Amino acid sequence: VDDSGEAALLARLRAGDESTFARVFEEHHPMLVRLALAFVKNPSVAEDVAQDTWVAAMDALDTFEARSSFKTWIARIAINRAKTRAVRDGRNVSWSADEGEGTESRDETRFNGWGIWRTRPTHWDETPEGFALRREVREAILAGLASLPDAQRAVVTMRDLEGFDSEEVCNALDLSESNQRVLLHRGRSRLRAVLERALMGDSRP
Amino acid sequence: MMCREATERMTEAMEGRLSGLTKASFHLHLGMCAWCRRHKKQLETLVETLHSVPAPSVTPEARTQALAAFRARQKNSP
Repeated sequence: VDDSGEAALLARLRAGDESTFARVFEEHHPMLVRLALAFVKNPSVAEDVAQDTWVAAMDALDTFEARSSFKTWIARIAINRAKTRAVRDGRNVSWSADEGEGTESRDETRFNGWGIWRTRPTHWDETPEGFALRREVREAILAGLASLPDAQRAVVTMRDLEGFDSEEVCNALDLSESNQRVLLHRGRSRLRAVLERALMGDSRP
Repeated sequence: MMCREATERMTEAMEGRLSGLTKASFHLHLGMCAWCRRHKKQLETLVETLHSVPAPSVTPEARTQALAAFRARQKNSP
């Protein structure tokens, strides 16, 4: 959506146009649910958070200044509400970029003393589309994502599931560019290992 | 640069954040090391796979609930 398109869309929403709302809802609601799920973990709570997000966003529509895209703006509302909900439900959301440092060093066993591969990456011969279509592979990745430390899960969800760019993620999560990259790297590295294990398990006769 | 450091720098490389000597060493290493090339390809495959995971579909109940909230808002506003 270009700038003028988005301005027109906002004007129609402000005027109470239901078909515009329905269209915007279809476009963004699944994204809001997945973002919320990165914080609250329970799918029905994530759905509640996404619904609350629409109410809050429509109430705040007049304060939206188009400094960010509508998508980024509403995503940020969902993230803030999901964080609040997670804390209220007694989840201790951890935002340290250093979290999970301990398990990261497990990867060290993949290299020898010279820093050369000891346990080499296995061969994968399928396309990403093929992986995404295979239920057991998709489930293994999503389970891996759910088990990542909070900040890594939030960054990987925004970047790789929802396709936000690094600047949008830094803004929405209040992270520095380098912290964002570290979290992304750790999250992706773990998920690569999860995928590798899932595929090895899969190849057993 | 050895494999250990090359794998640690892969996200930086994919984000286009490497520069100068580090960038040159990284690409030199990848040019020589099939295992690191494979590792990088796998990270790229992972990212594309995540992109292709379908989002949960919107349920009719969710649609109805949101539209009702939108209508209520219109009624309440002056």
